[in-house]
Amino acid sequence: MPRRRLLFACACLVATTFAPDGRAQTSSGSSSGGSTGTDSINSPIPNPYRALLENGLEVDQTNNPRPQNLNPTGCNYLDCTQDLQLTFPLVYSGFSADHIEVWAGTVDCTQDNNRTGTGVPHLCWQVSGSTGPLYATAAVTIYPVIYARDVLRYENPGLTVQPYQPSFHSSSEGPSACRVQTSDAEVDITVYFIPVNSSYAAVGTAYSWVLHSDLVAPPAPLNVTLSPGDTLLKATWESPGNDPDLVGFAIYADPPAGGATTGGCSCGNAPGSGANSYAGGDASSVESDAAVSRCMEAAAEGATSEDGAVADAEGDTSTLADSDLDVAMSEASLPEASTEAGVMPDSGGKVGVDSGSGSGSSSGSGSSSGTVGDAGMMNCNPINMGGGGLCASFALTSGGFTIGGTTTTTTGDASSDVAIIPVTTGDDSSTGAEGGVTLAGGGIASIDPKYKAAEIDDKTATQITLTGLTNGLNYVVVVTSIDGSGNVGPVSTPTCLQPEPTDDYWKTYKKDGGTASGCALGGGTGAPVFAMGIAAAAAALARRRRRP
Amino acid sequence: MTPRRFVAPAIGLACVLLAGSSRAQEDRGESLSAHHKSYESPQNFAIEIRLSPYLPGVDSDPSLHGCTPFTDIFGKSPSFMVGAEFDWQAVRIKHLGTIGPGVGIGTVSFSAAAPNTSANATGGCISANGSLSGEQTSLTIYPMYAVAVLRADALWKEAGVPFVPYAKLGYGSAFWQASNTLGTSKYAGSVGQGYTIGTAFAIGLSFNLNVFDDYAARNFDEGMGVNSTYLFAEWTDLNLNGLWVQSDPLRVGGTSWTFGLDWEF
Repeated sequence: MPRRRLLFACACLVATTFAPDGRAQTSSGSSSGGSTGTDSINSPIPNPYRALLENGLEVDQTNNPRPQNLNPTGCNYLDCTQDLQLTFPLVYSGFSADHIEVWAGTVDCTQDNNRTGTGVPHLCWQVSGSTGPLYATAAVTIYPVIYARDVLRYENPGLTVQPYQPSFHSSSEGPSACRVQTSDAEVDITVYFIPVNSSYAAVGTAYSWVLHSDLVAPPAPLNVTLSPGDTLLKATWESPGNDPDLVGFAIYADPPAGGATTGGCSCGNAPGSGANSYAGGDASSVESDAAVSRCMEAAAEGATSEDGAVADAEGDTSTLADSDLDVAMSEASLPEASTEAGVMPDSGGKVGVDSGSGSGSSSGSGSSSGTVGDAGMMNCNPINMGGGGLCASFALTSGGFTIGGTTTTTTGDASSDVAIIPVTTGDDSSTGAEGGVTLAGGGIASIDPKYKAAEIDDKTATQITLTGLTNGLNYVVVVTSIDGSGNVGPVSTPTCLQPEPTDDYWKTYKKDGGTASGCALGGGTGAPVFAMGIAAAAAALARRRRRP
Repeated sequence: MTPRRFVAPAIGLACVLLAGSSRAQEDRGESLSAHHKSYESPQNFAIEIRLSPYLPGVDSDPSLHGCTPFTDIFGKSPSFMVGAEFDWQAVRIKHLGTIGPGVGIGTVSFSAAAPNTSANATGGCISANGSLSGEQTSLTIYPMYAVAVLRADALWKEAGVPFVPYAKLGYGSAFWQASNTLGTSKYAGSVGQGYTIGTAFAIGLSFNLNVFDDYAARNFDEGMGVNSTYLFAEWTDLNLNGLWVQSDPLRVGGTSWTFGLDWEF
């Protein structure tokens, strides 16, 4: 007993660093109970918890993709992968209970049967170890800490035994909690802080908090197409359907603007030339061998990994296969993309492309060309450009990587349909994965935010124009859906195209010999006469006004 | 048909329409007519809402030597110009009507997908290769004019015939801007925006809608000060050719039929 009391005291001391930040909440907790006892747990503030990332940093509401209206009462896929740490400041009084337990469920967990009943399914699961015993005489503020994965895990509610796993959230099984939801609808899970007696029966008044969870992102937009313009590409797509909480779209382009003059993909368009070359990434990763080998490595990993995990969500750009990631490298997404591209590997991992030398790129970009023709092509999702040419982007369609960092983004204006591709302003891996975009529900694991070209917060949007591009350079573009919980969905089937010069009206007029030059007056034969006429009229008017 | 031959049928038609409207007025009684006379508010201004299918004569530019870039890009279909005009009926000429200055402004825009750059040329003209890009190109014109307006409303005021012929003559100008998706077009150092000056001329015929509901018209006058509401049709000629002042104007003027509503107050 003394040992347990000491632990609780330590927990309180550790948690005293909490300072209410007063941010708005989307809902407030409610008390529930029903058992005898004078114990009572309440929140002293309307904003009952703050959320910390695994590395101890507070959730960045500015750069984190979570919408502000969740702030941070909801948990999305990214929160789960980051194993959000939730701290609740609660006031406890009464002190007839033996200790406090924290449970979660979609039913009333203050009912003992839902937690510990004999011979009945347990519909609640314990999300934190017990605190206490509690021998204080005056009200005390406690700071229980729980983890998002423990709350979201859905511990087989049909079982009659719910063994508490104190280290579940940080164990190798922990990320599985992020994939338990199968539908896109939001699920409300209530977290209960329950005073219990020595027989584990609830006593007094418990405190509960509803945690909105949405771990499934909307599906990718359909039929993404590109049409070229002068230093721009116009992307159009179709909505993925009647997704209940679709709020917008994010558009990614490789290479990103901001100085890259090569990269993305290079395409061999000469039929029969055997010049199917491609490279992945932006200018910084144009070293073809590295890009190709990464694709191959990712493909090999994807072929052997059960869950398809290929990338490290925590920001390791050099490690592709990290068992701790285990994020939604979709079982279906990559093959789907490859299928649509018309390039499917055979059983031996070969794809139907010529493994030529990579020369003869018609794009003129002269960018990194690599020798391909193996399983690597599968994971790089080569896009059939027609005429035998292929195009691929490692960064957007394969085992992408997350680099922590800040990105200056320009939100697309749906009304004008014009967006300027942002320029990455920094890369600070020390901040963890906050700057990255982790994709949920399939597709690649994550995309470096520097590839984000625009975001449209309008679910009815069907097009955007990416500007600031380089003519003659191939760009791979993918579109993702974003839901109201901030989940970013899998990427669309990648498309690839080059911006091309156009003849707009003015250019055509000029090329046809038009001599109009805008505002310049003068040169005409009547100019002096016109000027004299204006002057005479002005003088006459002035003279007339002077008359009494 | 000589002018005299044209006028006679027009007056006949007016009389037929007038007979119908007079019969309706009789039904409302003489007292209303007297009421109308006593409550007519002063009339000094007019305002017009104008709508016209407009096609600029840009391709008539002599420097194009027969090339038709406007038609090639935007086609031959006109776009609707929306405009407004404000007139000051400064002087009333007895047994004729009013005359005074008026200013007007409008806007019309042409937009199409820009073709990809073509290496082909036909007779020295750029010929589109048929493939359209994802880029939009547009030409927007903002015509403006300052004119003297003569409205011969004596026929309505003194004889009750609900037709008012009018004419306008004065200075015309237009700001124009050629744009693409990225903004104002530029080519070889030349920016695609500017203005062109010229003359504005119009002749039209207004039909006074008061005849359909004299009672409502009087209430409109008493409540808002609007003396008459007209439906008009007008032939407009914006001859924006630089007026011998601009050496290389973009010929964004054109002729068009304009329709609209006119309120005198």
